[in-house]
Amino acid sequence: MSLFIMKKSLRCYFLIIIIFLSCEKKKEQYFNKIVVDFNTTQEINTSSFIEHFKIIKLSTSNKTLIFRISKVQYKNGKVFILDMPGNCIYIFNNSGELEQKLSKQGAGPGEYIQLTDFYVENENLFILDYTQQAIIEYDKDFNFINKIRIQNFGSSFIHQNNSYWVYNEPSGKVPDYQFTALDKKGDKISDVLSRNSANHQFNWTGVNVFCINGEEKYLSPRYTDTIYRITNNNIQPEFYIDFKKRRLPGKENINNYDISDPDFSYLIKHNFYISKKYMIFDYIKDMKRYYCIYDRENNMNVSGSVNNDLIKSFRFFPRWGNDNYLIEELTPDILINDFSQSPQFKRFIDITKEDDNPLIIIYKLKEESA
Amino acid sequence: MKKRILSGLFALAILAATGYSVNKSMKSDTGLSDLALANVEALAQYENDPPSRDKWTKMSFQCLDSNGNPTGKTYISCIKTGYLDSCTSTSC
Repeated sequence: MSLFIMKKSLRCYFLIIIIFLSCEKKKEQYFNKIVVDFNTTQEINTSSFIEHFKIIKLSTSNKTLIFRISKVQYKNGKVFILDMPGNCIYIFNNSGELEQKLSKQGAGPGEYIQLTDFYVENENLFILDYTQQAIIEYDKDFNFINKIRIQNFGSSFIHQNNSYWVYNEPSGKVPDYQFTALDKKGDKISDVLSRNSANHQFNWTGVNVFCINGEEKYLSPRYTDTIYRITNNNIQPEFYIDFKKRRLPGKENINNYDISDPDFSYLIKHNFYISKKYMIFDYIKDMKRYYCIYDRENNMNVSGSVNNDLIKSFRFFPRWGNDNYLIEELTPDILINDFSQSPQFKRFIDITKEDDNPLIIIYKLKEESA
Repeated sequence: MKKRILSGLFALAILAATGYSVNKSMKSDTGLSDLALANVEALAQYENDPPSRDKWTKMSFQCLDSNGNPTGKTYISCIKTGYLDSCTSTSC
């Protein structure tokens, strides 16, 4: 009898080990390691990964005077613009005409004190009020729907399957988690990715921590080498960027380094964008911006400086992106002073004044192999 | 053959039971009334250390040229609400 139980137990153990090993194998399959050839001097043409582009000149009036663009999203043929110093959100159409403006400063229901982020889903607009530490949801006509309180110092967020993922600015506490998942009522589900020290000389900002590609949502702490996919209420590493001998040592915190210093020798990811076909990120080497274009279908990547052969005599410097789009802002003063020779901007030069609203360039990434 | 199938079923039963107990414990929360939950939440909110509107969060940015390349300088932007006692904004 005891022999029978022992045999049975052994079989169960083996089965559990097999299940465990198969799960481990599955994890490896989903983990993409991207080795960056940072010694390359090659140029990557924009036409090799961008299908087409459009230039949108945002209309200018007293009602639509943008102070400074902090974030742009392109959704359902509309351009959503966060003006953080102006503390409002503009929605322009494809022709650059203003369709709506959210400006509800205050502490009453449906009002906010300081916007730091927004998110668009099914025509509803979600905003993050940094001062109140709250996420407020509006319908397409900006009627107030819901408000939840968040904790810590949340500065940006996304919505995923009835939960919110919030990026927290440093709190000075230990442990200090960079991301928090909250349910629809604002109750904490989990904290992830602790900062490995409390007090830093810098708090490097200016790059994204979330990326949206349809239903796929990703997060990655600023200037780090791992990008995680959000799955239900958890995260799993999806891309690992390997700068080989120029990578920042794993336990180091980027906020302890002066990344603006020309002598800063480590290579670090800046913005990252994930589309159906690509994962794209930029990095700085020798005071120059480089890009790595990783083809998700073929598991191959190319790194180098980007030559904008689609828009002649112009830079390539997208700062935002969502789904299959990369988005760049061109302020009128830079257009007039630096890129007036570009043939694609010729028609805008004569009608643009230095104090006009910026131009927005929307690059549509390729979806299929050529 | 029969023994193998039985062993497999036994292992699956363990997994199913684990799944059920997790599911059951999650469902049991819904027994609390919404009002009771709201009160618990209100008490738990900012119980220890609320975000202070009298302090600052410091944001560090790289200064960039018109091509998007760094100039070697940094600027600081300060946002009200944070944990720092002081913060001074700078420009490029």
